[in-house]
Amino acid sequence: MSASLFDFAIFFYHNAHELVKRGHGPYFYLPKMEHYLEARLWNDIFLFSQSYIEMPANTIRATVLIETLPAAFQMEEILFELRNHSSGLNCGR
Amino acid sequence: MQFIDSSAPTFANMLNGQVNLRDAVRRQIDFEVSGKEYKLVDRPAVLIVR
Repeated sequence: MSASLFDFAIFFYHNAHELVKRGHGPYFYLPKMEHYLEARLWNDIFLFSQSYIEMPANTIRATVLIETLPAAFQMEEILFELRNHSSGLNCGR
Repeated sequence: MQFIDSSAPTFANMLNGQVNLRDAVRRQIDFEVSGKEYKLVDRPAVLIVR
């Protein structure tokens, strides 16, 4: 299975509620993206996961790393897909 | 904190990372080695997972 999905799911399942309880939240960096449809997939994952553990939608915050050429030309589309979970974009490389 | 290819991505390593994260979130990650103590400050940086 996808390593990033596994890593996300295990961390989220065990820690999301606890983080919110402590005044923080489930916050993520999403690296290496190349297309706004990847952002849409992550948004779907976030919505499903929050619902699964009965956490309000839009609690997760994700920063997308713009570190590929294709992503640099789809920044607005990427932000739009993650508009309810976005904590902005970051530039690497 | 990153689950990324700069660390050897063995399953055991990845699970160890998850255990460390769980402890860190609950502030139970203090440890001591060779007489040196490692512990979180009162207000550590915000945790973002990659």
